[in-house]
Amino acid sequence: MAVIEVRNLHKRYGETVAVDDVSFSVERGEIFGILGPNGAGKTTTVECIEGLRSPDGGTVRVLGFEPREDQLRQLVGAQLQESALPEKLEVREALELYASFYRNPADPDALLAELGMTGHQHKPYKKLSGGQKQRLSIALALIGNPEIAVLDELTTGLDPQARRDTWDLVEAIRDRGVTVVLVTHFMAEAERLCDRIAVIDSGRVVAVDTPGGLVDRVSADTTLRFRPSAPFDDHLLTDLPEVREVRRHNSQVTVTGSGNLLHAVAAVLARHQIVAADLRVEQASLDDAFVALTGRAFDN
Amino acid sequence: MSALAKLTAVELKLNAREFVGPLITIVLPTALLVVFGMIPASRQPSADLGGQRAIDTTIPSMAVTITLAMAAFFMLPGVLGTYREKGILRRMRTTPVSPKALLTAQVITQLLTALASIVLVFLVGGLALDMGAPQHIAGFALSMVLGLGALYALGLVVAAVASSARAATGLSMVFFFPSMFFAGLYLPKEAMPHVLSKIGDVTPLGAFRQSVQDSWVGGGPQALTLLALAGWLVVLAAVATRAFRWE
Repeated sequence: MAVIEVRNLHKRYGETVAVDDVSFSVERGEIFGILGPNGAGKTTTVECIEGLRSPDGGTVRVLGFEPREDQLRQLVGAQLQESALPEKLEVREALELYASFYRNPADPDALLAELGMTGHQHKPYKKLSGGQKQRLSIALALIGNPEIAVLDELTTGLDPQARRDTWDLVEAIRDRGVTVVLVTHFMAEAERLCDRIAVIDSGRVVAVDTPGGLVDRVSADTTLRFRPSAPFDDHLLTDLPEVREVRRHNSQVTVTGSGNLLHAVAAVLARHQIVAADLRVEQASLDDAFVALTGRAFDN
Repeated sequence: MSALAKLTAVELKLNAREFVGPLITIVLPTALLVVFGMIPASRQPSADLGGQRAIDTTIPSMAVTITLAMAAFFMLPGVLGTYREKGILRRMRTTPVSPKALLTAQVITQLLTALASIVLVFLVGGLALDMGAPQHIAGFALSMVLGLGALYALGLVVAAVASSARAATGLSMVFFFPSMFFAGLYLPKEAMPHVLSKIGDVTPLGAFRQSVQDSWVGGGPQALTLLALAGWLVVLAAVATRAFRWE
C-alpha cells in the first residue's frame, strides 16, 4: 500500500524551476531513497511532502492527507537539512519539549538509549559533535512515534565512521515499522540502505527502481580480473556461454560476461589445475547507472 | 504539560542560562533609580515638575520604560532572528505545534522578566529612596499593558523585517535612539520646544513614559497618550503579523 503518492509535482521559485515533473509512490515499511546531485530538486520535493512548501502543480498525498493538513503533523517525523536547536538547550530537554508536542509520544529514555545518547543527555546542543547532533535530530524525528520519517541529507558532513553508525540507525528505524524517505546525494548510502530509489536529475525523475534493478538497466555484465598460475588457451573460457570477451594485459586476464560468470570460469580453471591469483570481481555500480540514465557523470 | 507551558518553561530556562542580558533587564531600572535617586535634589519638590519630586515622576518612569524598550527593541528581535536563522522555527513547522506557540512563549518569558524588574524598582524605590507608589493603579496597569504591547509589537516588526539577528540589531538602533530623544531621555521634555514635546507624546516610547509618569502623580494618564499607545499596538501588531516570516 502506498503511503506517499507524488504525481507530476512542479515547483518553481520565481523564474527558477526547482522541480519540473516528479512522480513516485512510497510503500509502507520501505526505505525509499531520493537520489540526485546537489540542486536536482530533492529537498524541494520532500519539503512539499512535509507541507513546508506548496506545489505549483501536481498532487501530493501523504497517508491519504493533503501535506498541509494538521493531522499529518502527528504522523510524519522530519529531519531537516540545516536546522539547529537553541545552543544552550540540553539533549534531554529538547526531547521532552518535542515529546510535549505530540499526542502519543515515544519514551524519551528509551529513545535516548536506542540512539546511544543516554550518556550525553545533559549536554547542551552546541557541545555535541556532528554525529551526536544528527542522532538527536533523528531522535526528534521519531519522538512523536511517526508512521513516516523523512530524513534529508542525514549524513552530510559526518566522518565515515559516524556515517556508518548512522546507517545502522536508519535500518533500526525501518525495523520499528516506520516508513523512511531518505534524501541523499551519496551513491554508497543509497545503495546500502534503500529498498527502492528515485533518481532525480534537473527536477525530473529519471528512474525508480531497486538499487540492483538500476544497475541491471545499465549492464548485467560482470568483469573478472586475475593472474593465472599457468598459461592456458583463451578458448577454454570463450567456449563458455557466460563469457563474452577475454583480454590479456601482461600477466593479467580480464574476462567480461554475464550470468553466473564467476562460477563458470572458476570451475573451468579448477578442472585444469589453474589457480586464479589476485582475483577481482567488478560489477556495474550505481555510479555507472547514473551516468547511463542521465548522460552525465554524477558530480557533487 | 501542555506544549505552550513546556515551551515557556524551556524559554525561561534558556533565558536564565543566557544570564547577562536578562540580568541587565532586571537590574538596570533599579540601578538607574538608585543613581539618580541618590541625588538629594531628586527628593525635593521641583518647580520644573509642577512642585513634584523627580523620584516620584521622571526617574521611575524613565528607569522602567527605557529598560523595557531595550528588551523589546533588542532582546526580542535578537532571539527571534537567531531562531529563524538557525531553522528552529522552520523545524517546529513540521510538528503539530505552530511556531506561534514559540513566539508566545518568548513574549511571556520577556514579560515575566519585565515584571521582575518592575517589582524590584518598587521594592528598592519604596524602601530605600522614599519613592511614592503610583497614585493611579488602574492607569498605571493600563499604561503598562498598552505600552508593553506597543513596544513588543515594534520589536516583532523589527524581527519580521530584518533578514538576520545582526540586521535586527542595526534596525533597532534606528528606532531606539530617536525614541529615546522623543521620550525626553536626552533632553528633559520640559526643556524641549513645544512641537517636539508634543510629537514625543505620541511616539511609542514617549507616550509610554509620559503615561507611566502621569500615573505616578497628578491626574493619571492622558487620553491622548493612551490612545497613541493603543493605536501603535494595533498598527504595529498588524504589520508584524503580515510581514513575519518563519524562515
